[in-house]
Amino acid sequence: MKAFEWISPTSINDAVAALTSAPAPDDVDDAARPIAGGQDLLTTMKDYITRPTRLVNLKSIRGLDRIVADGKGGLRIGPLVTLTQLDEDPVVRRNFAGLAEAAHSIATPQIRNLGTVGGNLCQRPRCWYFRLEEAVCLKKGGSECFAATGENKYHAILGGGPSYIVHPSDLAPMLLALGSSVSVVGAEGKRIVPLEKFFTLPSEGNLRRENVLKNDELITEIHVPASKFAAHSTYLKFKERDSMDFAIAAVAAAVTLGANKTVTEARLVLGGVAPIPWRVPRAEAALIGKTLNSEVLQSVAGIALGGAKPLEKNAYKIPLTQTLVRRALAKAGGLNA
Amino acid sequence: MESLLDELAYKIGMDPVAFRKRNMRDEVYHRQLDRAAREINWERRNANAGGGAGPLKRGMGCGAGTWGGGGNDQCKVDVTVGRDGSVLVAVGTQDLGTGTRTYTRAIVAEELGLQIKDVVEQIGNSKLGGANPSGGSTTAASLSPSVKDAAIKVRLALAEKMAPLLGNAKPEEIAFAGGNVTFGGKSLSWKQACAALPAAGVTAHGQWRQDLQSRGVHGVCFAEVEVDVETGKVRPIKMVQVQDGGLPLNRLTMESQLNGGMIQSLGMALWEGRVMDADLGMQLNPGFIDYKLPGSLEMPEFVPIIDDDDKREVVIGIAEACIIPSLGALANAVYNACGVRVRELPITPDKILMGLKGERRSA
Repeated sequence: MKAFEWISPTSINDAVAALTSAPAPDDVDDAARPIAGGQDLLTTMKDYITRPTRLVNLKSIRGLDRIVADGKGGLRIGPLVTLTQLDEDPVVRRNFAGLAEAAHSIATPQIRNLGTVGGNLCQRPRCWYFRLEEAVCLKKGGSECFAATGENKYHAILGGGPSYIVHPSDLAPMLLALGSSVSVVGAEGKRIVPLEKFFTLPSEGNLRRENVLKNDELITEIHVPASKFAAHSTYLKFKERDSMDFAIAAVAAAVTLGANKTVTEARLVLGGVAPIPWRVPRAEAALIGKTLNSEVLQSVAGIALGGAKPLEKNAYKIPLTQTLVRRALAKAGGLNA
Repeated sequence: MESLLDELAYKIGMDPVAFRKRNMRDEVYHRQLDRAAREINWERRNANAGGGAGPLKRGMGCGAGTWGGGGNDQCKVDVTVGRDGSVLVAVGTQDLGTGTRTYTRAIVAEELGLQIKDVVEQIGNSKLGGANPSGGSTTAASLSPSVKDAAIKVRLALAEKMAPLLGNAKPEEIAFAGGNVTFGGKSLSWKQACAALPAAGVTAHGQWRQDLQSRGVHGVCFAEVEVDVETGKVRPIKMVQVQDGGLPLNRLTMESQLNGGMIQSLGMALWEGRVMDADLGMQLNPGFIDYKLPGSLEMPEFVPIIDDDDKREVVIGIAEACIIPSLGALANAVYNACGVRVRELPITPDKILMGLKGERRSA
């Protein structure tokens, strides 16, 4: 780990100032970074994947670790709320069931006690080439995505190229399904970014980053609006190892059932299969007006994975994710399938 | 090998247990196979590999294994009994967590008629006298004969010093049992008897004895798993392992080694695998996030069974032996559950799902 300077600001403005005033980095991954739980950042620093010269400690700022009602049935979640807090919050469990499930699915109790919501959204990819210090891949300023033709059983089947990472966050697909947005504060002021526009594909955004945050920007709040489907939301995550694992594939689903149990609203977002949480609007549209049964689920699962382009070693992710789509929708819709 | 035997048995429509008994000459395996089959209720297994309704399919498999476990002449052991009754056994070995401390104390305690708590062991320092390096499951069979030899010698040396207090009995006639030293009608407590020792106490040096150890063990494992054929996930349900090893030095530590062997083979069979990049020549999963060791949520029910029909009164190492039979048992259980024969460990969901796809294509 490279030596770094530690700054503990007491306000968001001071934190932004500390990020802005840091010496200009040689490389984007040498830039000053904010730190909260540090559960991902420290691992990247130990392997020299990031080499910040300055860490700005967000834990010294009061008030960022609360979950409060927005007055309209929605939630305002502070970026420093821990995954355990989110998992155990009675309002989240009752009204945003899928969000509590997503939080609970992450890592281990020890990591959930320290890891934060903001950190979970901003964590770096788990791609083993990205995590290997010696492999200077596309995402680290190199010229090649080693996963494209290498060991790619865990990599992207949707939205890949030129990098084939998958987004590692479990909260991101669920928050996106619930229509959430994040408040971002930086040197140029405050902006509100819908999560749908927060994450960036390697083919569209900065290859060295996974989202739209600039070096001097912080997430200051996550807003989850009230919705009819939030209470009927679920997060189904497939891990190779239940004790602790990232998603091989995951599905965030939420549905509203109207008269005759037909679907009136649906949200379907895939995790672990694309460089960003992957919403599938065509599959959502195909659910509207339907009664959930095994034929409908089968057909929707097919549509959801319709555009999948597997690499050499990850074709199994297609039937796996289709299974999760069927099971998640069945659960969200209260079906025993 | 165990998968191949299994495959042959299925090919000719024979029960894999019967197939093994028909072809394994060593009858020890026959009794072990019967015992484990009874324990796991082998008759419940899937009649047709991959048969049954619904996505969750259960299956059972078995496997057998052998190993060496013999010792060699490298351990020098000192046992010292003090005038205060203290007993110290010293040897420059180490405990890898396999129970070395426990049996080093226990052998001396048994010989002197004391409790394990009455003996103190000193290990983990090469100044204490030569010992063998731990490897190849050789520690128990190398060390315990030397400990036993030292314990016998110190008992006889003690008896010689204590004989005048017991009517000048012959040393070999004095009994050491239940914390007492006895001859004829006379009995002394251990402390009273030790008071007769010289100020420096009595020390004896033990040497390895070939006749107290041997090599060659037998073990079988039966495993039950549940395969989700829509996700490829394998959930271990139950593992039963029957293992012999000559004289069990300590039943609890031997059962623990059986459990440990099953856990290690479970990891090797279902999760652990070194992933190398052929072009970079580097391991891609060098840490415990990506090199997946099983955790507490992956553990099935374990039934470790010591084969008490083994009447050999010798010590044989069993550490590595316990890992061997279960790998085949798990792979064969996966086949019995879902009809996919995975020939490369670990058996991960990608291999199951792609295997099922291949089965459907060829059907």
